[in-house]
Amino acid sequence: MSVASEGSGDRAFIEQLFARHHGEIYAYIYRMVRDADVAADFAQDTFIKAYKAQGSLADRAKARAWLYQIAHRIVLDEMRRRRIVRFLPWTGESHGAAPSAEHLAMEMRLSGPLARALARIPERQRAALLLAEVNDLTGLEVADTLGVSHVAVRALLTRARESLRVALADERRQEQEREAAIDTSFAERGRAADARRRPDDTSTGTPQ
Amino acid sequence: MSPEMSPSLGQQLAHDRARMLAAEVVDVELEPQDTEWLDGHLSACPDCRAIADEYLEIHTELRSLAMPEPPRDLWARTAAALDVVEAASGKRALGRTGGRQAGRRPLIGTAVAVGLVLVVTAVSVMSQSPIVNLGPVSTAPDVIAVASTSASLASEAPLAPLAVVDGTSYWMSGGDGVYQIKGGTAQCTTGSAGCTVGSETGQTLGSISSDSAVLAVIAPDAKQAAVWTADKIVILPLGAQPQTVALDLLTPRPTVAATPTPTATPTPTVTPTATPTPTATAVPTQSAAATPLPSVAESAPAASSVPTAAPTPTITPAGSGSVAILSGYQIVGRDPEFSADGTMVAFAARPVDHSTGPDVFLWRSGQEQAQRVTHNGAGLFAGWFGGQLLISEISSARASDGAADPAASPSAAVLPTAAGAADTFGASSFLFDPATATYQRIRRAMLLPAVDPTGRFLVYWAGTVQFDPVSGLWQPGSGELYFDAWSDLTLETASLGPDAGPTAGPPAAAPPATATASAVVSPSRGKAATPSGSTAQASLRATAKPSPLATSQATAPPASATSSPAPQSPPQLLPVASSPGAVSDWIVRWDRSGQFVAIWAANPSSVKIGRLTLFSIDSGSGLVNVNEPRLAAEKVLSSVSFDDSTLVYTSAVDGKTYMQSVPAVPPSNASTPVPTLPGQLPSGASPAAASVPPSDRPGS
Repeated sequence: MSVASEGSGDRAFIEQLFARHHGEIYAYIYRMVRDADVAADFAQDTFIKAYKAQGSLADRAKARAWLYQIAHRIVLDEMRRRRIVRFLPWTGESHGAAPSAEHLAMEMRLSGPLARALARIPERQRAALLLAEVNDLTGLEVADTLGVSHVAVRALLTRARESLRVALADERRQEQEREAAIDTSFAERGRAADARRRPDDTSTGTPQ
Repeated sequence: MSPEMSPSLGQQLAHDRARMLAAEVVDVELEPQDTEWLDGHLSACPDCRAIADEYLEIHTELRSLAMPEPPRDLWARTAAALDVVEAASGKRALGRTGGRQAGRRPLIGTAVAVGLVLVVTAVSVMSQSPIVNLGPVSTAPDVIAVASTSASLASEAPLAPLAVVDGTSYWMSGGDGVYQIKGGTAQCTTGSAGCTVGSETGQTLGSISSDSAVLAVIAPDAKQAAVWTADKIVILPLGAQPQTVALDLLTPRPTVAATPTPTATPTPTVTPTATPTPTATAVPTQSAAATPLPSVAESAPAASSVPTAAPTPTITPAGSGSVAILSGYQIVGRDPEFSADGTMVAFAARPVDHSTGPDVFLWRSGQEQAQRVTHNGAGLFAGWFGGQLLISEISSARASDGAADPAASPSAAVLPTAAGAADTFGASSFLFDPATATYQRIRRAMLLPAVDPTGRFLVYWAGTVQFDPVSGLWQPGSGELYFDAWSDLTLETASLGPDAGPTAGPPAAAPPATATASAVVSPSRGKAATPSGSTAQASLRATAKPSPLATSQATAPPASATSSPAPQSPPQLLPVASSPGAVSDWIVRWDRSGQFVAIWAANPSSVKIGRLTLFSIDSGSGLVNVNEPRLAAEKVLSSVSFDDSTLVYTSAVDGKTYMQSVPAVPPSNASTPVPTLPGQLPSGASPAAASVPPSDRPGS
């Protein structure tokens, strides 16, 4: 039964969907594209397309999965087309950049080894894992969103978990190596400082 | 004993099954017999038990991931966009029903946007295009819609073609991990706005399977494509009845990612001369005849040292297999691009683990893998200039105690120093000749210069760059595009070997500066391309080699000089953005004759939709007619291209792709300047005059 068609009421329905789901839709897109501006762009597109395509929603009870389907399609399509001019890497701390405190806080929470490992696995695997594990879609909903069968989703999730396990182990190993390097650097600086102080200590000596 | 080392196939299969079930049991209830078998296996196999525990741990961690917060203005933006959509649909209804404007909800905050759409739509009715045409072309539109998508949800997004070559449109379709590159006839008769090439039609020329999203570019001869995912780039032959290539299974042979190798293969060694070299055979005659591009042979290598020659490219037959030319890297910046003769592909990429920044890579036909052209983790591919590459970079120069030598430690040149140390950032662009493995630095600061096919003009960006903590990359901030004559630039030999890359600036030349996360790339002439201070300027001037182009300006005979007065004019600012300084993402496309330049500039807050402006260039004056653009189109997707003299663009409004012929533009005077190619003196120029110092137009 088609409960949504062009005409009056469309806008109100989309506004309801936005109020309920925009947070999770944005979060899903953000984790797929890892770019806050692009994620906002795509989240906006998701609701615009939903507005235009209300006729394709046969059952409003399935509106959530339908929204994810639209969002997922946008992500894949636009990632295929997008062209972003990007420049140099920044592997250290930013001296003068002044991102907002909100932005920094988000980065702190989202840029851990798990988020980095997620970013390394193939998009379809990442999508399946995020939808099933993070966004709590059922297997059938994930299948609808990705446009594959339920059996294919299970296989995709299995591959995704193994990919993520390997990537996460690698991320943690790299993080340990970085921390070890930092520890070594501090230890060397400490030894060097000690070595500089030692002659002074002996020259001043104890009071006569 | 690890599962991988199981002595028998049966044991290995048991371990594999245990892993699969352990992955599934995380969120699926297994069949009782499977549960029993898994429990038994895990109790006897500590390695599989450890993996099963990892799956559970990941499951828990994923569910505890922090939720990123959407921007506070997301609803305001979405509501405004909905208003626009409603207004547009109401206007369409006006044409059909005579005035009904259903569903429109006026908002004060979006009144301007709504008004714009109404104007756009009204003009569209007249021109059969949703886009406003300005200037002479708009009075007699020769615009044809060539592609659109069906109304279904799955393909509702506009389907922009990868390329249109000789009237044939190429696009990518598919999903569910399988993608097809298709080709179909795109030519329609003028005025038949309804003729389309749907995504479901066309001949499949290439097929790819991948768990990752796939992007592609088509070679100029449409015989092969470069396709890439988030961590791999593959050369894919195109042809009828293609086999599906599993991208995830392709790996380069041998792996280039682990051990960077110099670009130039040390065979054979030749001394650069101004005369054509045997590498002339590398450029197909057909291509050279069709487009007057500078070939390697036409270049006069400017290296002061003896370079090593690159191997002569060989053409890979279209029917040969796919080649993974780089793995473990992700494309950065511009899309990969084939050379005009289709024998080379260049692009910038960085390791997927972000351990270094992007470098420029070059693949030649016949090679198993792409070769690194830059080595400092700071290279960006700007485009082709005949057989040479234009490369840009943003570099930093340490201003502390001089301990950091960018040449000795290339990565140090782009890394921030420890707290308290000072860095400056600037932009440089280079011309790299793969035939001689030599670099020439463009003295003027600019980013991503795009030179027209005839080698006379260029468009480049200048502005501020900003660090983006999300992508971990520097990105354009506020800036503008400028047009200028290539012959006004001064090139100087970069006395750097391919191992060092083009970045290394004078180590001791950094000025006192404060650390900053933004930098200014000034279009002012006479400034060095590096961020260095006065010392660096002096150093660069001391080593500057007269550019053949600049020399030709200074020494051209009177007839040539009068026919090309461009050197007397300053760079022209191109008004392509909605507001001054708003060009942060752009694409420049030239027609084959170099008479038209199409510039797509992204809208603020969008990476895929922007404004398209088509300018004509007066070949007599060498100036762009900025006051009368031939086309000014809003809401255009970024996939803009030229098919010879036909501009191809896709509207984000109706999803259709339009082809617009651009007429030849007679010069403002009778004489036409002789195309000046890199490394080539124009006809009539006296070799003796080459000693006249270049100036890069000081004082202008």
